[in-house]
Amino acid sequence: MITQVSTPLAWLHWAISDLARSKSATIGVMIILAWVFVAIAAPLISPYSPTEMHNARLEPPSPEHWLGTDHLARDVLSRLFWGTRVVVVLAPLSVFLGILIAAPLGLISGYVGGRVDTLIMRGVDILLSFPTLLIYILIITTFGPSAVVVIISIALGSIPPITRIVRSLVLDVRTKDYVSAARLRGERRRYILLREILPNVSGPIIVDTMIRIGYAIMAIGALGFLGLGIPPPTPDWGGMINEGRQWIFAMPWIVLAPAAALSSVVIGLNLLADGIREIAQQR
Amino acid sequence: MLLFLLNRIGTMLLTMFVISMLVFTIAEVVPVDPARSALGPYAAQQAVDELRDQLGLDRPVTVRYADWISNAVRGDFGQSIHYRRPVNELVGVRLGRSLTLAALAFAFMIPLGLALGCIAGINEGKLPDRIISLMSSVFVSVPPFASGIFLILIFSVWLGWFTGVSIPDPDASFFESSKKLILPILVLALDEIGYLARMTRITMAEVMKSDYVRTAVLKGIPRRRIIWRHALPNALMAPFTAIMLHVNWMIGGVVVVEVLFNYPGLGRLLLDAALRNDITLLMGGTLVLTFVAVATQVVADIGLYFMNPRVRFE
Repeated sequence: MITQVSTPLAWLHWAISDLARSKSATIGVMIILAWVFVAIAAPLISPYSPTEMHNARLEPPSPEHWLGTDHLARDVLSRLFWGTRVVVVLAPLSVFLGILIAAPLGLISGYVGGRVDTLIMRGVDILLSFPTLLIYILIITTFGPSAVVVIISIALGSIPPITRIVRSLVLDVRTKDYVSAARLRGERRRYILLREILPNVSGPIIVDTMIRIGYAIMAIGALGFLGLGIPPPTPDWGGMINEGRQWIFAMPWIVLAPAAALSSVVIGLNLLADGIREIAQQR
Repeated sequence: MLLFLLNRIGTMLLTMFVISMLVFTIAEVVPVDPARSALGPYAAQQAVDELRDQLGLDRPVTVRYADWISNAVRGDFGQSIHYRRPVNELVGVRLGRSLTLAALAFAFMIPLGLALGCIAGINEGKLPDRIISLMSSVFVSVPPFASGIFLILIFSVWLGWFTGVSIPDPDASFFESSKKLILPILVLALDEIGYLARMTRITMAEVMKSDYVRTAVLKGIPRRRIIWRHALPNALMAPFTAIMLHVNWMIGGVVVVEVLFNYPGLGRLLLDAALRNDITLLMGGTLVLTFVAVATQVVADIGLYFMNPRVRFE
């Protein structure tokens, strides 16, 4: 997939006209945009404040509270809307942080090869054999649960797999003629890595990023569910499921709403990733 | 052959060594004094100091690490701060329960995932493939804590078939206790079936387009025989590797499922240890669980070596 990217506007045009050709990409983008809109507009569209306590606890859905109230008499719909912000901001942030560290590692490992490659890949293999959720639990126990610690631990957890993917992509591209040509021209290694190799491996990396943001959302949800996520009273979908779990038999909507919302975001991201892959194959 | 085995086992030992150091370092950073937490906030400072002395907490880090790791290798992880019992006893019982849960989930998801993936791969682009692909995309996207909530709502709240909690009761009959395990197993399996089916579908579709399958078709071999004898054995390698690489992901699923269904396995023990700052238990349990994960991967590697002649000649 070689696309000459010139200006951001042209890129946007290319992206929209291409994505529209795939049904799954279109649906995926629509789901994601809907949630991003909810995250931005949360203060405007939420009927109440997410932490405001009303008169009745565990109320069933009513015209005043569309999704009822939780065990602290807070409006579930408002908490759901505000909770979108945690997902929409923290998940991409942690993945980008991971890419920022992993992409250079993978580029160097794949291009330079030799001892550097062996050293980096050994480290990656060791970290990959460590169950990710245990890494999160250990880090969060050590530094205490907070948004920053959650972002950092998820970023750390995503470094080994991203490094590995970038490296394998580089190994594929580095033998191409245009790389040899650049080398024979006497270009610096930094120029070859950033101007010749990086643009040509960025397509698969974007697909991987979509899937990885989905994983990050699941991880943030799982941490909230386990009581290790963003500390209360900040509305967080995983935390809402954790708190509402005890009342699942009497008041199912308290947990159903965040569980469905979280699943729909991840489905949207995976559909988008599938769609991009489909489009790339058609070329 | 011998070289391959030595290489794999050597890597495993190196991995365990690095991970034990990481775990130990993290435990060092945690602002918790084991002696103080063991005796409680109201104990006299003198008693705490004595216990610190007894536990050898004031010795240099390297000495304490060497001490800890040499005991750990022999299966002694010290006392749990919270339970006041040896960590290996606690972990041993819980690990057995977790492995039971995982094994049952495996027994359920592998045949189902492979079958779905094969059906989709053989019929690439047709209706069965579309339905199965859509289903697996959804299964892959729904995290276990959400799918668990959905299944509890459907089967416990709405239909009332199973209970939402799964505390093993020693007095209950085998039928009763296995009935309680159905939902947790289902949640764990659903988490992986989509992934497994996707992997199998991709390789199966590729194999069906390969030259040797076309040769077999042209030779006039019946379709059923081609699928079972020619395509399937070659298509199974990739999902086998994939599922073994997914062991770490499954461990996360096991932790979530154990918490969701109140199943007293190792995952819940570790989470409780983390929430209570029970460092010795968290360290011991993490080491054991990581060992299980790493050992599974090594066993899978060796299994693949015997299953696939191509790996041997690399």
